[in-house]
Amino acid sequence: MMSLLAQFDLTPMLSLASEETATRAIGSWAGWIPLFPLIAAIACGVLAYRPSGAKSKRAGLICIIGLGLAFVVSILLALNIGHGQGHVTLFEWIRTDHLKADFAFFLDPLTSIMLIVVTGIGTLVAVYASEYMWGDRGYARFFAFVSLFIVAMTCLVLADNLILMYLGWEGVGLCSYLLIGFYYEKPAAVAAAKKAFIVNRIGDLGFALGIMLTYLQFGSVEFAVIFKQIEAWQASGAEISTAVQTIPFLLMLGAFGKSAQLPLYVWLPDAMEGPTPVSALIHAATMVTAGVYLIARMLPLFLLSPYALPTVAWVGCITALFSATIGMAQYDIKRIFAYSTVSQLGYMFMGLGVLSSVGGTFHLFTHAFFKAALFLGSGAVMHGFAGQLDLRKLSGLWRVPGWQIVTASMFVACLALAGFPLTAGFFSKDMILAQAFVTPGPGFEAIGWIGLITAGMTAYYTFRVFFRVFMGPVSFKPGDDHHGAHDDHHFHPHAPGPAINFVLIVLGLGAIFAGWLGVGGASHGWFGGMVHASSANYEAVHETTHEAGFFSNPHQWMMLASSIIGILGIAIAAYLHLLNRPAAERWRQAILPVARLAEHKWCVDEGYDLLIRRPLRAVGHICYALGDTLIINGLVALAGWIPRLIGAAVRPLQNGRLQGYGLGMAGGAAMLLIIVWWML
Amino acid sequence: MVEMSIIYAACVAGAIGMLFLLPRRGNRWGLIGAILTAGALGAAMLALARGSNDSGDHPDVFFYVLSFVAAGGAVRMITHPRPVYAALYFILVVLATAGLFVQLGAEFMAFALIIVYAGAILITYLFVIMLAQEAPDDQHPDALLDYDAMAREPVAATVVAFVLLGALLGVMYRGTNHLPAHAANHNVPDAELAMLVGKVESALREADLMKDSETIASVDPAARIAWVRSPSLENPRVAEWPAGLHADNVDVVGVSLLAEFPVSLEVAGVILMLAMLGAVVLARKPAFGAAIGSPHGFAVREPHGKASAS
Amino acid sequence: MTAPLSLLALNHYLLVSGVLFVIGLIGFLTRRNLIIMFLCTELMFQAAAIAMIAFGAYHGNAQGQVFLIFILTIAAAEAALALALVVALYRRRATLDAESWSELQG
Repeated sequence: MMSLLAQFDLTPMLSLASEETATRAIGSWAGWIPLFPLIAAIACGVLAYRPSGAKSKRAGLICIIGLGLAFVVSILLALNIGHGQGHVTLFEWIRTDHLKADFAFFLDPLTSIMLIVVTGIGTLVAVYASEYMWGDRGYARFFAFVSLFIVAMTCLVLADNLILMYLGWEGVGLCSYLLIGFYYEKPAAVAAAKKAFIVNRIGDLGFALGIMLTYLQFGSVEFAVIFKQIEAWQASGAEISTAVQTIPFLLMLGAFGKSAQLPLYVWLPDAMEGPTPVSALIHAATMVTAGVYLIARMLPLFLLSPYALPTVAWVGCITALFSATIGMAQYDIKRIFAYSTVSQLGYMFMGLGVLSSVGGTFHLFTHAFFKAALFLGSGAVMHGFAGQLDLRKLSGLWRVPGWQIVTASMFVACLALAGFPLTAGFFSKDMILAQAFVTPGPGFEAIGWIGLITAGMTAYYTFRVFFRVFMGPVSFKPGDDHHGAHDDHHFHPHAPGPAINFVLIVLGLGAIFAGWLGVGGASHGWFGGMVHASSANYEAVHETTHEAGFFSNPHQWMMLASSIIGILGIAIAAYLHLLNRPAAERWRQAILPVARLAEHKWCVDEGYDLLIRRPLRAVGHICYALGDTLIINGLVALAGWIPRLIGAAVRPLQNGRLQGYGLGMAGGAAMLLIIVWWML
Repeated sequence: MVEMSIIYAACVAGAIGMLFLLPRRGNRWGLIGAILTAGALGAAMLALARGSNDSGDHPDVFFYVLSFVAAGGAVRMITHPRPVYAALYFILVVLATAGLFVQLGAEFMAFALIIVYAGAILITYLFVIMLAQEAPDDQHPDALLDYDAMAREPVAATVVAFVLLGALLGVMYRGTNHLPAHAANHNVPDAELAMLVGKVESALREADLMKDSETIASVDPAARIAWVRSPSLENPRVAEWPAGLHADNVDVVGVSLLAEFPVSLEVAGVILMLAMLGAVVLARKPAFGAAIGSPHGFAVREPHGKASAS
Repeated sequence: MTAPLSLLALNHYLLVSGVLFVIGLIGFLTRRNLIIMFLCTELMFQAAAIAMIAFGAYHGNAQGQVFLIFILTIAAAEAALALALVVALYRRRATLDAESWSELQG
């Protein structure tokens, strides 16, 4: 591991003289990446404020151009960086005697991968939304928020210090809040937005504490300084203090909050109240992966504690299984994919935890494509069928005119999510699961088995949706958004337009071919090479097992095992939901109590309500009664009463009679004289 | 050293006497009060005089007479129920004070006091009293207004005032003990005449010590000589001052005022002018009705405000 | 100019000054007639004047007397303004009772 850290050449970043050359050499124009979306955000915001501009088509165009330019710059940056590193200081931000946090960017391959995902998916979603959101009252507002989100997300990704990262972190949280509550007239959307914000607050508290503790322990919040310090500790074999070992756990809390892991995942399914493009962009592809990125970025710090990464692995593993079980029982398409997102994020954490940072980040990369495709596809369905998302009420869309492209891209994306061989999800998931069997750690093999089972469940629930909605006999009922005197027979679904189809095609291709970037294993593929050149690199040590035979090399037999499991899941789904749909209902009746419970999401929300919200509310009421009403109000009232009492006591002195004042003056003079007399 | 315990005892006695003297209806204790107060003042003076055996240090009998007249006049002034009499008693106080000033060698100030106070200010007071005071009508020529006949809170005022007097005297006598005795002895006598060349010149001419054609070059008070320049001589000659030539009180005050405090003098002039203007503005009858305020402005406003508040 | 004052005589004059001042103060505090109250302030000026002149005589210079000139100036100005005020007040209430002007109470 030390050798990896040693190859991490930080000297150009630390010495000012060479900083110039390094900056000139690599990505000195990285500042444009957040700047283009920022300009777009401001322009759209201005449009949103003008009554004439709120529904203007220009907003969508501005946003697409802004994000597209950022995407182009990101591609150029990735090509420019290659496997190198760079550092760009935009301007001095916080400089005190001890604390230095500039508005500066830390560029390495991990950054460039994240930037491509964020800006690329962002651009596609903007194109999609320019059609999807058309006609909405908040058209310009939507694109302002989306652009602002990209600004914050790129800042988060590019930050060279924890404080700037925190700024981006909170920025994406804010945009997420604003976009979940986009339909602010809908109570459910407002409640979901508040829930997301509050649950994230718990995690962000941990992150903030982690930053503070980092600053206390390292004396800096800059990655370069922190990594150098860690390197020095590793080199000297120094004892790592408990305080330093606590930092990863605090950062982990922030990551779990943002990336919707147990126990803080509850906000993500509710976040589907937002517009579907937002669900695709923020709550599937990019923002929720910020936690994964945080851990990948701070991996050297996580390695300092022997318990940190196993904790991450186990939390991810349990979350993956848990949310997959819920996903199997849901009926709302978007919710199924929301739980699927939670589950896949669990895989990513699992990957990081079992020391497969390539696998974790690669899964992040591929997942962004196929999950965006799935969300945007279900968004198209929702759009076309007046908000209908219940998979029991939709069937056979494949045969409805105009829905073929949607069906095809959904099919490809479902395959990728199910881990069908040679699709994107197949490669990345295998990398994680195989590493679980390779890396020695507390119960890592069990994690691998659980992950394998979860992969089968994933395949089942994914194709449950696909077979129910897109295959089978044609039948559909419009959703609640279909108003009017017509009954269901007169409902005509309107097929998605060119923008939506184009985006779905692009994402479908990505769902197939994004995986090929990782072919060649963790150390040999393009993706692995990129990650190895970043701060998340440490895997070389564990690559030795490659040379063993087939069954002793998990990377090879895992491909077979997961293929079998995935195809099995698809087959079960095909039987129950395509060939013999009544059987599904019979099976459900057979395990009714469990199914009910799963449909109710294992009553986690109710449990939280009972265990946390109600006691907190009670405590709050007590605090309010005791602290606020009695003590604080009492003090405030007392502060008001004291002058009044004093005033009431001395008010008679102010009797308006000149001679009364004269008497006081003379008495005062006499007293002064007597005091002076005694003192002299 | 001054025997302070006697002074404080005198303060207490004076306070009690004052209480008896203050006006109230049917006051029959006035005589006792007067005797007590006068006795207290006398006792205090005796206590002061006890400190020294040297008769030259003592003030002469005129001081005692004048100070008793001043104190008595002052007491009568504040105790007399009728404002006109009070003003007249105040003139008595002013006259006695002027006498004390003469005792102190400040003749000019004594006359200025009489002219300004007794002559100008007090007459103005009398005019205002006649303007403003409700005169007793023909049926009851001795009727007193209530607020003239009764003293307000006499006990508190007297106690506070005499505590102040005790503290004042205590501090003052403590301070005067630290003063150098006869601080002025090393001053050159008649030093002001150096600035009053005209006075020296006229005195010399009157005594025929200077011819008409001669002029004074300079004056030297320390040697009591003047340098006189005569047309016939190359250098100024020395002329001795006549024996009776002294700087009198007016000379001294005038030189001091103009040489040491010229700016203050100008400021005093400005203050007087502004006071005159202010008095004109204040005392003028409201020429254009309610613009300044109705005669009953306050009296009308108060119940109105209370009604709106409740 | 007469001989400088002795310390003993100075003390006597200060006693008279203090007594006059206090009598003026008592008058100011107890009398309710506005004109008499102002007269009493004049009496207090007299007391201050005596102290000034006595100290001046003790020190053998004319500054005490010069300050008396300023005191006289201020007393004259004060008398002019105070009497003008008394006249103005009397016009409003037709009384000279100081107690009738007690609206300024808390």
